[in-house]
Amino acid sequence: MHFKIALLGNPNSGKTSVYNVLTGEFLTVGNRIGVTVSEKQGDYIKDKSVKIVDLPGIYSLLGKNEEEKVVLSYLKNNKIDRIINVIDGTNLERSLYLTAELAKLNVPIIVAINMADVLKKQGVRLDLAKIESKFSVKVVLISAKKKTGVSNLIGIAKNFNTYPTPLKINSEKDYNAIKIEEIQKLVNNVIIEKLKPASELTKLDKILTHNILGFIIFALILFITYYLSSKIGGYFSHIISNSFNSLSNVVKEKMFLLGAMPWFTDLISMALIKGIGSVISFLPQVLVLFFCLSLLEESGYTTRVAFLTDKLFSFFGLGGKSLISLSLSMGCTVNGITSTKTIDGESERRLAIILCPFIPCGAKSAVFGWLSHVFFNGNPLVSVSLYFIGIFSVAVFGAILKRFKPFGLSNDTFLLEIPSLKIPNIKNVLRVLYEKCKDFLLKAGSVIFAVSVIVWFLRNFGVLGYVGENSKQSFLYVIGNAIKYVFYPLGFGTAEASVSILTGVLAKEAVIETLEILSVNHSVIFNNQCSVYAFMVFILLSPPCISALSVAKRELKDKKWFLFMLAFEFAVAYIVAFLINTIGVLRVIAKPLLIFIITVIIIALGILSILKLAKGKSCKNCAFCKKGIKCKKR
Amino acid sequence: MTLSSVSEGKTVKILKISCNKRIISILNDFGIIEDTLIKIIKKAPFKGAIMVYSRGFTFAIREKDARLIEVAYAF
Repeated sequence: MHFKIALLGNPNSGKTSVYNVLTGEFLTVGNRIGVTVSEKQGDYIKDKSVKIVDLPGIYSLLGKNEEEKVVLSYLKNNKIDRIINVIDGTNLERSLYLTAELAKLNVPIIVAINMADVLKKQGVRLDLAKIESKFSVKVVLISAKKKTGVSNLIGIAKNFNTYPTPLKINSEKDYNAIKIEEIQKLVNNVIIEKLKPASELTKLDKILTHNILGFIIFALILFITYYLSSKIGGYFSHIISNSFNSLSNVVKEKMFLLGAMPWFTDLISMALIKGIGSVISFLPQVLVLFFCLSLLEESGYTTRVAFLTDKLFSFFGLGGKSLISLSLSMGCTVNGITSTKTIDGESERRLAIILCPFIPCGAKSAVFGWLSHVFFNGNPLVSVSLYFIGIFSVAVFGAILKRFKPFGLSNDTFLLEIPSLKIPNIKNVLRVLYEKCKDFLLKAGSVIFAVSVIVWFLRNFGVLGYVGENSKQSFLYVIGNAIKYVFYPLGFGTAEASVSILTGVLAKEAVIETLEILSVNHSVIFNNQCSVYAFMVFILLSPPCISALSVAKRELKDKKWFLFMLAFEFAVAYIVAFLINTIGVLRVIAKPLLIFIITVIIIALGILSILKLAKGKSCKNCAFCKKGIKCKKR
Repeated sequence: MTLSSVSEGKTVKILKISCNKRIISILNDFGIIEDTLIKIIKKAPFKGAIMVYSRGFTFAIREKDARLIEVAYAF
């Protein structure tokens, strides 16, 4: 029989850090609420019969949001032997409200007061016995960051088997008020020496949340992140892809000398070495992106931006919390969509899930990096312009969808806890990079490898058997030729480009290696730079890869919405790519950046007219109109 | 007077919260009820979110919700 210990506590109190120390695993942590959104079970590192469960952070057990629902259903369906209640020591009062609720559960509780190091630094001393006697719990001081006290937790938990005593409050009506008063009294007794907590913004925080500077800094940070990842990443990518290319040539020569079959030589040198190499060469770019992102997450900067931009995002039917999801999507759409669980309102969450894929993820940016390297001499502005098209599309299509009923509700709550800024823990950042590296290489070794072989097979074999150089008779061209007409209006109606869009559904990186395997001379795939740009925009806006789609389906909860998402994103990608290609064909301007600006103007004009149509009339009399909220009378 | 009309840096006492049930329940979890002292730290531009400080921690609330919280200056 397993001994099960659940970690419970307020959001951002350090449960996951404790979990990581106890199990030796590595789950992502961050300086904001809602990093953990589902339960996670692991073995205690020193004793496999002890199971540790990490649960999302909660404030009470009422089940009013997704996180609380997850916790409630877990507690209902599982027998738990001990609860470790992780408490943020710098926020004792609020944390103890939850302890009072947990005391009703009839499971022995060990209260682990985290951030003991910070308390010590601030000169705060606590009278732990007062808490112990109040709730009949065991109280331990720990520091998850410094890893002190954590390893003793399990031993203490196993030996402590007193059942907790809940607060004695008879009147159901004033329950909350009395609970708050009781705990305030308790905290006043517990804290022996204390400093007045900072209720002012620090200088840095003042600048970061400044009315004007704050927005400028945020735009700069976005630009720098994108620019660094395509510039620095691009530099290393170049070196890696060159070495893979020369390796491929060497292998080809050696195998030729050894007298290997030509098809086998081709499989090894083209499909395996060159195809997979072209994907691996984008690892540096992805790593730089994740490095910047995890710095922002770890420092707590993202919550500042969420606070600052909440109003701005309301024009797009989103809120400040969507910004967190969107910025996580820069790394991986799967992370972005998973994090939408913390968004309170149904309509806002739905919209955020549908719009997240518009933000280019690491894999998409690898595709853009490769294409701009091959067709635009590696100009980093090409990739950066695509990022901004992505952001712009979120804004524009958010504003459009918001006008329609299922998305337009603005009743959503927004309560965002703002943790103090801290210096990012470099160990955590490095760990994120390490995990990302592992993921990326595993993916290259599995999905990308399989796609490589399949694409190579389809490219070299046809109904007549091995076709080799005579590629026009291969299976791939048959498939490509059948679907290429769909993309004809977009300027890339070639068999190669069409097939790469299909393989891109499995993983976006596969686009690169499909194109790499398929063509010796890349210029035959696309008519001109404009159709390349249209292709990039299509990849950017079309539905994400299969793993992101499955997460989206799970989070949307309704098949109807999932189908809508697919159709919507395909339509958007098709229309925008069509516009870009049409402008290119008209040869108004050949520079991609200017094409981008003109497209923006055309789209903006289109939207203005759509908005005018969808706006409807206001009665100017009812209470809603006077408050400036959407009229409910019509 | 409502919480949304208080200027930055002022501390006020909550008289009545008439937001929707969800917000009231979250505020309850934070220990924020009638008679609680609350300080306005920062208001985002264009009637954006309002950053407040109460009971030892900082959080943000939307302007439209702050309009439904009745407060008075605490002396």
